[in-house]
Amino acid sequence: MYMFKYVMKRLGLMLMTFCIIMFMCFVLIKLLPIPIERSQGVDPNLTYYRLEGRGYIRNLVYNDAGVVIGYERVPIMIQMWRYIVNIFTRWDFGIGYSISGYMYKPVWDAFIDRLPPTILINIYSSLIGVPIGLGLGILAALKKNKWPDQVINVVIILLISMPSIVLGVLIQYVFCYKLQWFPLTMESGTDYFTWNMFRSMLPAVFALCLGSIAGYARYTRAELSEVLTNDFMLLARTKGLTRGQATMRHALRNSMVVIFPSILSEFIAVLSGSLLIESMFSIPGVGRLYLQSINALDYDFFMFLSGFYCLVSLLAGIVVDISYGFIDPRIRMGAR
Amino acid sequence: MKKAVKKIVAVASSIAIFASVGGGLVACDNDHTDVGPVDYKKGTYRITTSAMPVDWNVLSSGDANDGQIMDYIQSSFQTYDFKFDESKGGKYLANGQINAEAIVDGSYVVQYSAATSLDDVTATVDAKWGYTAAQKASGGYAWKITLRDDLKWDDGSAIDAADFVYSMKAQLDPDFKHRRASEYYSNQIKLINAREYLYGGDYGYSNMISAAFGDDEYIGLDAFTENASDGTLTYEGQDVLININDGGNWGDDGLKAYYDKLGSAAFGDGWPAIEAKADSKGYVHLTKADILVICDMIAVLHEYADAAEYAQAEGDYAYLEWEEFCYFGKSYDELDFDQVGIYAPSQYEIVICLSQAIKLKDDEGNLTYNAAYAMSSLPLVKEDVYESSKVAPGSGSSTDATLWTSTYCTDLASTPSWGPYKLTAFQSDKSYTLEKNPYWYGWNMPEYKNQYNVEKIECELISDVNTRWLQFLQGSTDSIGIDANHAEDYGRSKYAVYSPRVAMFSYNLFADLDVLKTNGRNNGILAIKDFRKAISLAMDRRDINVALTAANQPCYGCLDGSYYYDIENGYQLDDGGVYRNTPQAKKAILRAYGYTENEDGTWSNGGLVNGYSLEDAYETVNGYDLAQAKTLLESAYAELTANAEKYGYNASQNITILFGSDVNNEDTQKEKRYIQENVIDKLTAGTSLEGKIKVEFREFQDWGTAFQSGNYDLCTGGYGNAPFDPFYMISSYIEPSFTLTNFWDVTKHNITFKMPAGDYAGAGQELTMSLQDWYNCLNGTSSARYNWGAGYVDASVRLEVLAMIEEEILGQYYSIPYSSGVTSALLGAKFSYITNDYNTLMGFGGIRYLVVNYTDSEWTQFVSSNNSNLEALYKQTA
Repeated sequence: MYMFKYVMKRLGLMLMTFCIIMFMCFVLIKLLPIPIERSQGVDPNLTYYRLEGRGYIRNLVYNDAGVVIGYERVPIMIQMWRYIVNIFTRWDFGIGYSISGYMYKPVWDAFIDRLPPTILINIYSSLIGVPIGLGLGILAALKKNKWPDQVINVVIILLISMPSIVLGVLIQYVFCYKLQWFPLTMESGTDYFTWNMFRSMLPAVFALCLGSIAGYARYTRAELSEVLTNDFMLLARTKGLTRGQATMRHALRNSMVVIFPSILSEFIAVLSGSLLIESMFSIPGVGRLYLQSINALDYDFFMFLSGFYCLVSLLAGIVVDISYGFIDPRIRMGAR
Repeated sequence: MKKAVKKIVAVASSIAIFASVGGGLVACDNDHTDVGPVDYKKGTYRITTSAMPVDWNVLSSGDANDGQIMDYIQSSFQTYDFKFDESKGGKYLANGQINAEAIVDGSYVVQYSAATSLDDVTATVDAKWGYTAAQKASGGYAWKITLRDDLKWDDGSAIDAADFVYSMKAQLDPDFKHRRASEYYSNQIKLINAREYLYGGDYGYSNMISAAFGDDEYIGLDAFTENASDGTLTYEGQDVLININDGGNWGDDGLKAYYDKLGSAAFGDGWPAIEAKADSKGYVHLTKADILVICDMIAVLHEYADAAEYAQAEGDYAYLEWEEFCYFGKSYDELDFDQVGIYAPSQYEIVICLSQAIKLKDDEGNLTYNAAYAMSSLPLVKEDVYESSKVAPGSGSSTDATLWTSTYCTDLASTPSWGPYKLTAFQSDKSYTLEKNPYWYGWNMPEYKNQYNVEKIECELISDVNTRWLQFLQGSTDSIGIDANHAEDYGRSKYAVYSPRVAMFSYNLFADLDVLKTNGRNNGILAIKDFRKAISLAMDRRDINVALTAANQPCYGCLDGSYYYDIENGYQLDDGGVYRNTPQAKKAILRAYGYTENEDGTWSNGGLVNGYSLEDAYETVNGYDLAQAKTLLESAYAELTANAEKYGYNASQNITILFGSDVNNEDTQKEKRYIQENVIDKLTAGTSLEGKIKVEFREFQDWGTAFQSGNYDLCTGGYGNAPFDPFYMISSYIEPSFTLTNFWDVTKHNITFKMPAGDYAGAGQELTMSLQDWYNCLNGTSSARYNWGAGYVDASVRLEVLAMIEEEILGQYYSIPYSSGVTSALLGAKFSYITNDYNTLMGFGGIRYLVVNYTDSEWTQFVSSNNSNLEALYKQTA
């Protein structure tokens, strides 16, 4: 019951936070000046008509020559109200006006089409990063202050201090260009589960997961090192367990209280970090879609994707917190 | 306007490519029917793009990137081709190969492609088009295009004249207001009633009193006509309205806001009845009774009891002031499409009726350059696909939307082709593939034999420039643009290709003193001409172009060398038909940069240049004179300090010049540093202003409007358009809707100039007119005092006037030209162009003439043999 109440409370707070963030996003993007396209030989009125036709401006005013010289922006609150009503009554998140392949098409469709590469890159990154990171962390902890630990620590420092974009450049240059182990960019097409496609995703996956590997290894080493020195570990050994058994059954499980939430939060970080990596490796994912929507002031795309990222981040926070209770039975979320 | 330039430049540059893509040779000197096939190598042309095409619908495309696909899936009625020297064997050698050696440098021919003939039918079209006898006699208003009978879509379905008429109806559809609709009433092809049809059913508003636009006369209530049925007023066919939410000339607050604030206690009970009549946009059609209520309300706002009392104090104005709140409303009548100047008299004939004549054939009946330039084609959409692509208005945050939109040509399924290639793959934000369209009419034409050896075009979106270079150096792509960072390594490569582009760039200085005084940047000095001139003279344009661009060249005039005043005869004129090469244009530049003409016709600049011929003096112009710039700076400073209050100058503060752009990236920061260190610091060194002028940078989303409003002081602006009409192009610096420096009122800037002798209106007279009027006369616009438009006076007269206008613009130093666009690229070893000499209309031959040096398999082997690293190869110099 405590847990249920706690979850409900967190969800309520999340909803409120989500609404505030989305409100701010909507207002701020709509406050930006609307770029008015002007070029010689083009009737400037047509630009205004299209903006009026989209419901952004109204009450056009003309000069004596019939050229639009002024307009009124539709109040932001009115636009927001319509936006919300459309979502709840028609599941209509709007249409895109500037994204290649999705001109005048529902943003929802574009999102669904573009989600697989982003999700796959992040899943692959986690699948590779978690075991390697944990393995390195365990090894470093078990060999604390010996040469394997020192080497791993140096690698961790190197990887953790380099942003994924720098790692991406290095990977691309060394492994894709010089050694030619991988293609420079992700393969075209939507057959995501072929070997060639997988191979073409790997540089981006490595660029994303190397930093994560360092993070996992660091957490694991730190937690495991501490747990390994606890009295109950000595007890476990004196009970006759081998070092491996004691480490895996007792030490690692205790360490996971801290490590597991970090895996979840890393997954979220990887999702946002892929904005730049997608651009570098030509991955047609939602990250790039988000950047484009901001550059082009594609309002409905921007709002939808802002909502997506916002929701993912907020949910992740709740999931991470709740996960403590599942991993460690001693923790009771919401209990006084 | 930068974006506009990018678009226009791309359109201009695509002319050459498009011409080469859609060309045909029906009217050639020889018919080439005996040309046999040649076993040319075939290959896939792989390219990258930094931005994917979004909307390649011929009705609405607007971005340069759209041409990536659009140019290949369309065809032309008439097109350009290289001119081949018959004395050298003509276009084809005996074995059928293209005879590259016979290409005549700088020349071109215009030929039929999708059309088989183009005829002037002005004299014979129906009387309903309203041509006068004089118009029928002079011709050029109505043209009949006869189509080939084998035009087909890429699914094999036939295309005929009705499809073009349907497409034009779609183009001008009032429910869509397509972006490119104005091409058929704003540009050279002005279809009768095109605009009227497009605007049909619309309702437009204009301020009744628009003092800001020079119309500040009040009309008076008696002049209005009262509608018998409901008492509403009209004036010369226009409705009389008030917007309850809008204060008209008074500002943002409408009368509703005043009433809501002060209520009936102040205003009486008349207003609610007016407010109740408002439509959804807040407009009310007024009656005389309403107006009297409004007059009383305005009187109250002036703290009088009512209008009568106000009238006692201020006279008639008390019953005129209401007009400041009001609007005229005008409705455009809906027209039937058969009133628009296009129809199909038979299955393969289209007739277009224009409101302005255009010369598409010369006196000998040959096609003019305009036949393939202004009249290359008409819009064409595939009816069934287009109909199924329509999207009803209203979605997301746009539920007030009223316009329909279309998803036609936005993805693979919605992209039919009638060009030489068709879209066969498209992945959003990733890649697309074009392959040969087997149904293209051109394949069966003997004139196209042995061309289009590119079987497939594959394009991948790679927005990261470094990734693009790695792809190219790995041999995975076949061409790449050379940016400033790679110019040193690859700029002199034997694979480098340079081509001029129609784009000129200027630094624009905001100089409206009223705004400068209050902007908080202490930079009223920008309003002093000597200061602006000093900045101009402190710009080493050669160095700027080397430092900030990949290949651009210095530019000193408002128009650079890409503007032709006579493209048709250019090849046989001494100046090549290029405006910049004319004596008039050269003299304008010399005078603008401080040279004077001596009595003997030689030129001097008071320095090293003394007694030089026009040509030699022109060669010495570099626009850079730091010593004179410093003198001018001191002069400006003296003016500033002597009139500190006038210029809002505070001597205890630095002067800040805010440089702005729409993006804040490495390039704009580099440019800002360059201006500070290499222009301003060098200019001020050793002067009274040393260390006192700081350049700062800020990003502005709507950078053009922000500059025009004085939100910042310095911006780069680019122009590029109408390469064959410099007389029109100069409007970029004059027309308020185009120019960045629209604080300069060109309607009040008078110029006195003595017109050259000749047989035309105004010849030999010394005329004084505003700059706007000079421009109007030069282009023969409807409001012009004289018509010196094309064909009405000798070209030399127009050149004199144009040069005078250019000199006047340069002399203000509001816009300081510094760069002329040049495109540089590497074309990979897999391909080569048929000629290395750039042709204004044909480029290097485009895809049509691209020579394949390696087939795909041969290229793979070649790249492998170079360890997939072609860096060394591409660094080889010529």
